Amino acid sequence: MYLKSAVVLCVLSLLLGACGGGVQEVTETRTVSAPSSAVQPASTAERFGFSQAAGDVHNHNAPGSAYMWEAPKEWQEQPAKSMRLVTFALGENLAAECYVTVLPGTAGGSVANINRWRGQMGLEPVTDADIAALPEIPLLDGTAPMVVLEGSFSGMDTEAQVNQAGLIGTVFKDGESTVFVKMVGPIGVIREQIDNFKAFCASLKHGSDDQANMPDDAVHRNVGANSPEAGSNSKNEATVDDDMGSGSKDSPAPSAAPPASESGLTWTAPDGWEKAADRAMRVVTYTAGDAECYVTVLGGGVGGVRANLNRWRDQMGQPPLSDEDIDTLEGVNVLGISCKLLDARGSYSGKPNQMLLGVVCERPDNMVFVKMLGSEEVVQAQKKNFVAFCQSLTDSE
Amino acid sequence: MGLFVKKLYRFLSSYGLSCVLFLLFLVLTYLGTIYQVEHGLYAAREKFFDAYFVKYRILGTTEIPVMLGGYLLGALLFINLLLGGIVQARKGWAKLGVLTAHAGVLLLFVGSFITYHYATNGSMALYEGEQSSEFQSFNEWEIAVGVHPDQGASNTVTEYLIPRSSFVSLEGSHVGTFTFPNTPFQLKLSGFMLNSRAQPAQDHAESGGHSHSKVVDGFALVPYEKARDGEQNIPGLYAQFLEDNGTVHEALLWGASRAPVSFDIAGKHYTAELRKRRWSLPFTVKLNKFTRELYPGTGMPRVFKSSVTRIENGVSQDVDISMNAPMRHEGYTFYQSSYGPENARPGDPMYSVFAVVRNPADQFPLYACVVMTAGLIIHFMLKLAAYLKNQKARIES
Repeated sequence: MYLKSAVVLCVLSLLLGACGGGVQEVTETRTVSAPSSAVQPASTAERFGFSQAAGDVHNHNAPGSAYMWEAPKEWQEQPAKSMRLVTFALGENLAAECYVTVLPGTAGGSVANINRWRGQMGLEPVTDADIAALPEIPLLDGTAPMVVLEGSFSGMDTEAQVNQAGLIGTVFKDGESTVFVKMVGPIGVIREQIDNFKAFCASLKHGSDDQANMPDDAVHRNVGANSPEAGSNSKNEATVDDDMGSGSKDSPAPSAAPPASESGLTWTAPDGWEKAADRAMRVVTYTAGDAECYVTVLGGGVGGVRANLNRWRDQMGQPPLSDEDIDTLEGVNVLGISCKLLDARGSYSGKPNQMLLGVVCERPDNMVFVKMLGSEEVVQAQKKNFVAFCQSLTDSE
Repeated sequence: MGLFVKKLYRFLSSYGLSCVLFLLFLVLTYLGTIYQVEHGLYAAREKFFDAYFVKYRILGTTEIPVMLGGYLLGALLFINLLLGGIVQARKGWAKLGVLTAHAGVLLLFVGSFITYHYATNGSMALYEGEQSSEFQSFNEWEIAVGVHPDQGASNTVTEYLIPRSSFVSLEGSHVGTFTFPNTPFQLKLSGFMLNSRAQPAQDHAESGGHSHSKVVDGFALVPYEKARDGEQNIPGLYAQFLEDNGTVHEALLWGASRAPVSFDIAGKHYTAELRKRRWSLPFTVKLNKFTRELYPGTGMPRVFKSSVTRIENGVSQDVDISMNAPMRHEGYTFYQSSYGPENARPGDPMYSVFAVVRNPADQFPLYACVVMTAGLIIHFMLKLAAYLKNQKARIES
């Protein structure tokens, strides 16, 4: 009886569970009020928050103008949280977090908010004079008091209780808004992150100020409120030019790299380089020791030469180069165009002593990227081979 | 036929089936409990307890049913209890208690069925002064394709809604095709990712791309590690709108988009977006003021409440919603769930988050418990009476 029941149930499962598929007609509808004014089409960059022009269709984003920052490599950007401009997880087991909030008005001012943080840490409030004596750190276009607290943290409902906790915070009155930068976590982690906190605050600047001075192909970092970012880099910059951001039809969007046979390029691989398996988006990939060299071709303007060279420097933890600095870089002829060879050394994805060689060749119809990355010892030894490889690239016709 | 029906009836009302079903429930509960440790409560509920079948993935993307899920197990147990525990059971005053208790259990199943099919729950977040007549799901997503009216024709937009269940299986190269009544295009969806991030094309290219990511308008979606808290996942997928004349509009639908995709076909404007599932309310709720009181000297909230105005058919009514004092109206219950921003000072604008529940059967568990308790009391009293009568007869004899 039991066995029969079990068998019947199993057969029923297999038969009924395999059904499904085909074209579906959607019949479920909902009627909503039309927008009061015509909806302006938004480009993908705007929809995904990679452009200042993105409208806030969804409410409850933090108020305030666009901001830019440079986060330390080991900080991991987290999904957007309501009312926070950006949130990073950091430290061992990502136990600590640092976030930026922007509120309209005075938001109570430095004294009240620092004492509120002291309350969250189980500490008694201090006087105005005590707060005036706090060290100041650079932030945006001024300085702000920085407080470092130790205690037992119990903040808002959205924050977990942390015993033996540390808190670093700063409050800055920014025009019509007030900017808060706050880091909370286990005391050991917080003590180690004080310098990173200061560096992060010092990097915080207005997006509008920088963009006004940047040429058209500049790097635009994560601007605006609650714009989640992708990718393995914690900095996650979007190298888009103004044409893409404004949705202009004159700059075609970059298309995927054609397969090697369709890229129209030929080359001569240096001795000792081994061809690696084909990968999506790459024309060809070679390995030499622990280093990897690959060619990518993207159609349309994707930020220009300077922006992409600085994107690579950023990946290596290096500051961006000025136009003058880029002009002094070693030149290499690629596909008949005089290009600049970038040689950047530093840490990459947490690995120290890495080296990057890169060339960006901007052509009328596309951009060719040649990049080599690996340990400094190996890449340095392959530098001549890399240059020769770049110079060997030709159009197959 | 009559013989078949008899055999089916005997099978469905048998003790053997009861035992097998209880055993399967035990296995299901065990598997679901283990699963939720790593994948979270929502994912475990969806996979094991809300599902018709528990499916196992083989060969990458193919899912095969391996056992009955909670829904079908519950349905079979309901039938088994109805037929075996009520219809087929011996009737009489002596059995009144047992029959009543069984009826209580059946009521519980009925309540679960109504909750499964007809209950909705989500959240509504309002700033002070803001009003809304819709709420959105915590975990469920939908694709809404909007048909906008011609200029001056109407002030409503018709949205065609594709539920999550229709596109969640469209991972990788699996394609789903959807049509909409009276529209000149089809929608093809593929490459669904449960948790994803948007990435500019050049970053995507340099990372080697992802096998099922497509680059559209300079961006690609890349899969992200699934968050244990289901609400943190941001899904994405690739969409193609195919006009009847063969023209194709490509787009990436991403859960964190700030604006919908929009396009024009034959002079008519359409939009599409991937968003949290929304439901309309028959009334409007306006948040007038949010009040939060802390225990003196601490950051712990003592009380927080929302003063709202409920507007329906032009009639307004002021209501206070606080912890343990929800607002119930028209079958909807508004609970005070949370609030923000965390750094707000007295006088700063606050937003309040309500958990909104509509469950026609929300009192059924209570009713079922009352009936079961009554049944057990009746049964106990009858047994006690019979025992005392028996004892009396023994003494007298």
